Amino acid sequence: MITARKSSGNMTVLMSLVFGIVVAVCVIGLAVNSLFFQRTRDQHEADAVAVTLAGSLNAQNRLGQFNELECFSRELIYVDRTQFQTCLEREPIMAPLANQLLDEGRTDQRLLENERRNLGQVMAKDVREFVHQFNQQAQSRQTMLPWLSANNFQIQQVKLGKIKNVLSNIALSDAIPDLARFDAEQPFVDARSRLYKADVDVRLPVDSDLNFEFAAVPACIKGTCSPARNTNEDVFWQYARASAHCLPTAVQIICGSDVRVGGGETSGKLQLRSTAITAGASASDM
Amino acid sequence: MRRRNGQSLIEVTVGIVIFVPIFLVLFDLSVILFAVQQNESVCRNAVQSAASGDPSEAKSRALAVIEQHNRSSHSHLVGGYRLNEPIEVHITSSPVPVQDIITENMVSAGGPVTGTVTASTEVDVKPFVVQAVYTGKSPLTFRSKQSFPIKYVLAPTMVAPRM
Repeated sequence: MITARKSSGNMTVLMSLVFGIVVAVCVIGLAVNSLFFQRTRDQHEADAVAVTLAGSLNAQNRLGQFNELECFSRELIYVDRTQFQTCLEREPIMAPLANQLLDEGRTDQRLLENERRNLGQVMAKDVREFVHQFNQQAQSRQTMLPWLSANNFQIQQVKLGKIKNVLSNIALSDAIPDLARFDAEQPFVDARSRLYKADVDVRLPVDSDLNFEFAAVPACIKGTCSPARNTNEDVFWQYARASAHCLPTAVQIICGSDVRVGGGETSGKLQLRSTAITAGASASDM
Repeated sequence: MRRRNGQSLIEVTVGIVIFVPIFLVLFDLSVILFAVQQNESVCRNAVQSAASGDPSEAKSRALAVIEQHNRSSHSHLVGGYRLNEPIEVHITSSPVPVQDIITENMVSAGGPVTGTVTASTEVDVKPFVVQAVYTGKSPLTFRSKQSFPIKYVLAPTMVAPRM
């Protein structure tokens, strides 16, 4: 026996279904939107932290000044060596005094090298303290929706290094023509800008046992000094732990938040990174 | 026998009466969400711009960013974004001028200026329905406040001759 199908309430069911689908789409859209919104906010915060950290690396222009000290020490040793050799050839009576001056210059350079290592350790300690302090302050704070929350925004990792192809703030000086000629012949100096390359051992011709390296601090050009700023993460070059003699001029931080869905345990990590370079040297040779 | 002609029409009508206000509320909420997020974005851009350069000119840089944004996006539902003054500039350290012993002029060796800039922006939203439930006032005003570290390095300069 065939009975007629009841049609009462069909439209109500249909409209309820459509309404349910629309609401579900809205809720999912809201959740995804909130997640992206939170990510943008976190990225802003990570950028701010990276700039602050990078800025602290060259606090009081200490890296720029250290590069200058290194340059002065190098020139002093070169001049002392030249004078010592001149004395040996022309005024042997003055040779002991010239030798004493040369020894002093060489000893000072070793002290400077020790101070470079010390400065590197101080910078690493400052970074560790900053991260510890930041992570303690940023415990639980961000909530997006009742059923979706991201909190515990913390710095998970900090990498120290430099930005690729950044030269030092030391310009090739013509004050000592022989040394300038020697440096120009070696792969020490960028031909266009006449700035010394960073993290290259600019050894002297005779005193080659001494190590001279400049940090990658952007130079101040025609009164314009580059400030600490965010950079593309692809141009970051991380220093290996072994190269402790390289002074870092850039940082890359990796931050993360715990994402919870439905008020349960941590469902995942919202991770992002930010890179920044320190402020350039303020004293100008250009 | 009961007539069924028009029953579907009644169901659809009742459905529309119920659902249309709900959709309007959803639309209103979307507009509010959009405005709040845009306001955050404008505030972020403004504070980053304000922090990039001479702190004494932070306000003009922030205003330029907000003005540019207002020019490029304006609607009847979401009013113009505006800066809440003053911009807070908190300088923690800056290079101190010293007297040159030879020339006796005051000179600054230059160096980074550190600190933070905090800016706050507001936006007005004129929704259809939500304001009646929310406060009864129109437009609704939303505010965002953001901070960013100062990015500025002072070049070495002669400050002023000694009197």
